[in-house]
Amino acid sequence: MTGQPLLSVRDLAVEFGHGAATSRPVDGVGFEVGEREIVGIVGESGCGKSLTLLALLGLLPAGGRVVNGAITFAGRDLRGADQSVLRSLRGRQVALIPSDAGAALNPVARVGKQLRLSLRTHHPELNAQQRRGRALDALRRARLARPEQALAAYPHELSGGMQQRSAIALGLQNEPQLLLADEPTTALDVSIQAEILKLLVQLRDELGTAIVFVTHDISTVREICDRVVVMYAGQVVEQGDADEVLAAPRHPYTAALLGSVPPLGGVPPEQLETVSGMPPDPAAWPGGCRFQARCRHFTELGEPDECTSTWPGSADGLALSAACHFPLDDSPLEEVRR
Amino acid sequence: MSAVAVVAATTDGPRVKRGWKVIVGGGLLGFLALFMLVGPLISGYDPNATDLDARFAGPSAQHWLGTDDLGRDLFTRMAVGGRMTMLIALGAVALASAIAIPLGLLTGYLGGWVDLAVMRVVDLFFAIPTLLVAIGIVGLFGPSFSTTLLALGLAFWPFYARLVRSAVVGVRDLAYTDAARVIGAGRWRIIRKEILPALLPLLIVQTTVLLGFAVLDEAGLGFLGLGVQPPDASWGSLLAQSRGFVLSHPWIGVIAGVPILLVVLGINIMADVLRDRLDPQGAST
Amino acid sequence: MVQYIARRLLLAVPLLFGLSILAFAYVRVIPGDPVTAMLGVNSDPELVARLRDQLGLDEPWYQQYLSWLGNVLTGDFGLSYRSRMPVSDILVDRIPATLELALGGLLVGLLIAIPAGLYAGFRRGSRADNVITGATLVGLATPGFWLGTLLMLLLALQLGWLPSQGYVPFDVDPAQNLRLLVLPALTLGLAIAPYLARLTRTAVVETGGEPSVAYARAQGLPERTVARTVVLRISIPSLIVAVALTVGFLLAGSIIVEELFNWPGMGRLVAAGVSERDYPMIQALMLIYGVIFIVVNVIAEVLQGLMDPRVRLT
Repeated sequence: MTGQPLLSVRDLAVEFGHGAATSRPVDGVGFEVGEREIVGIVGESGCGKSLTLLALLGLLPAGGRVVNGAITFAGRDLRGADQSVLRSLRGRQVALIPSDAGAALNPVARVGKQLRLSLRTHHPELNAQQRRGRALDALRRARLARPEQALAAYPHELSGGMQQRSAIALGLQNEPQLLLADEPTTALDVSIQAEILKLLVQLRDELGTAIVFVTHDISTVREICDRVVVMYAGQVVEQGDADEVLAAPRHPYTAALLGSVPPLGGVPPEQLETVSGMPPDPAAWPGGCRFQARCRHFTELGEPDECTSTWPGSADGLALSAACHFPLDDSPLEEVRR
Repeated sequence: MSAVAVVAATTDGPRVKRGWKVIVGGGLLGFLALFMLVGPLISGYDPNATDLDARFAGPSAQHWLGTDDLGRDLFTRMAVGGRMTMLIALGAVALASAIAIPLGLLTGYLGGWVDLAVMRVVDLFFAIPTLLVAIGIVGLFGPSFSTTLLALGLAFWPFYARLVRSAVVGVRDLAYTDAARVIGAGRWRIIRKEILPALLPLLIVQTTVLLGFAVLDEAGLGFLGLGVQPPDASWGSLLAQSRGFVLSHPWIGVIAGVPILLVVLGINIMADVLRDRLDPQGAST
Repeated sequence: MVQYIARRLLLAVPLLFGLSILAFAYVRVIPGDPVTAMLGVNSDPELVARLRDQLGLDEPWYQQYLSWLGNVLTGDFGLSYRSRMPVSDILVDRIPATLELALGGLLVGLLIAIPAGLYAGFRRGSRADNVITGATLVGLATPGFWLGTLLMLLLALQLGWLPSQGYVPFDVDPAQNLRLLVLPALTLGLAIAPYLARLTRTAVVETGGEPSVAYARAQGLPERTVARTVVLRISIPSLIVAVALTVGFLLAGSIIVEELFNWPGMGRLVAAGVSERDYPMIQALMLIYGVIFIVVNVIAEVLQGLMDPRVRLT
């Protein structure tokens, strides 16, 4: 990555509730997104990845607040920005692609109206004719067959794939610098999933839009991401070049996630290495490494003290390696096994 | 969970303290219960004893709330009338529950034509105003204490039954009822051991809500002269009686509505409290 | 859309059929011999014979039902036992007054409740929301006739702003008709306003939790646009249906308000009909109140279908 990153997040923490009921579902998250880059954020549900996205947009649910960290987008500080600044940014420079477009699109407005509403907000200088042209253009770019028909359709009249493409068109018609794609394929059939992933890469190549791609499915990261950020229990446990991390994961959690993915096109191995158990509760994070309760190495190594006493990650969450006392490639496991 | 869904599912932090509700609601109900139970004892009057020398007396040391057209002590009559009204309301709610709960459980659990048939009857009852159903039943048996109870009970059950039914449908296919079915538990056992306990919070809240409506509708019937008949006092019949001289002696009509307002307010507040405590999903609505 | 409307109308048919059965059965379940119950033991034998004939009591019940239904459909509800006049003639005089009162009450109720409910819903948890929700709680506990009595005492008798009771047909003296309408309509409106306000607030709060609303915000749309084009547009269709369901309360309230203010509508016939056991009258009233309710609800569903494209599919 050269020069200033487009988006930089450092040591981000989000809290809910007050007093004894305080929880911190995002706790020290840091990562960067360069121009034209696709960065995957992977983790189980509840790991804080969606809340991280919402914090970037300034749209945390009621009661939620950013209590620590810095968010810089295109040289501007977003954490201290007030709502009017954020609003002019949302949909214009940073666009969200929702996970289930069928539920997210306004059910009682035609797709064309929704596209026009966003254009009217962010480009008041356009006239009706130009708005229509631009909306059609965006639908075409999102590879929607018969864009004129889609303009006149209500969301429920479209297929799931077409809904998702409409939402993508809605996101990119204002030519944002950054797309936040929030599990954009989970609600879709497998074959359509692949098409949407391909579309995202194409759009990045054509328009140069950077993409943050949030998913719980690490296999999709392999297909489209340049870099990957693995989150667990509100923290980043490993990040780096996607190919490197996926080929040789250093954090046991990443390895477990990868192990739980059947090899592409092949027969699943006899025993999948799944991550058993549940992630910890954000209202009461355990001390030390938060993955310990589910970490096989922790037990195999005889429950070492450092795992229970100190958090192995870096202070700003930006460590370009694994937040583990015993990362996989120099793990003393081999000795233990011997 | 996706970002959009996260926003949708998050409620705004811990609920505000509801302590004052318990104090206000409980206080109102406690105060009125005391009034109804002890009031006649300390006033020292017979509720039906007339005193033609003291007609339409205003509030005084002898008659705390004044007297009516026959010189009867209003304080005592309101306390005794409250007993009557509450008795009718409780009886009507018990009757409605006795019909609605089994019917709702059965239709919700079995589905099929039983469900279809019963729910069409329920739809029908929805089309006629509750008060009119009750009035119609009074028309059949003539106004009296027991008719009022019967009429309100029969007018209320359809609303309750529909609610129970949809709640049963909600829990019928949940994992634990399925599990019970898999281990071979019988229909009745599942209804009794699995579904009924899951419904209990809803039932408690709804019977409370219904109780408030019953008090209001008893008063409504009484106001129309179709409730408890004189000389017996109920809150409804006191209001009906006060209509005759509302222009010349408005005081009686004004004071007669106050206990109704307070008791229904107390009941509704307590229903809210119960809903917050027992049935958090339904709390926001 | 035409198909949707046709389906809604068809769905009302079984309901109307059930209503007619109920009204028919009502007179048959009177304990004892219906004719004796209606006319008393020592009544004119000629009248008894005519009534037996009119009711067709010697025919099988389904034939009785069919001929009764045929009469009802042609507007013949039989003779009132009280006045010996055709029930339909009496009702025709009364229906306009009731409709006027019901519409006036609904208008007052909506004018109070919709702004209050919207305000509370959009500013959930604010001081204004707490005040409105508190007022709703008190309003729900207030008996309508008692409220009406207070209003009458205050506005008519104390302040003398309005006539306390009575009725003048609109075509005789429009101004006086409206002046007389104010107090009853205000009472009825205030009585139903808490229900309507609660429904409105709930609709807004529930829609506010929809993914579409969060997504609209993520698009950078201004709050006003989100409120207008998403929250309101989604909640209003279902709100219309919810309001239509409260027409039952409205009609029940009108029975009591008419009684209180000597408003000569159908409601006054209800209490009189029951105390005098005027069964054809009660029967006709049940039918008409039921039909009003059903018609209003069909209209509401059609409106919902017009405004929400998803509904048309179901």
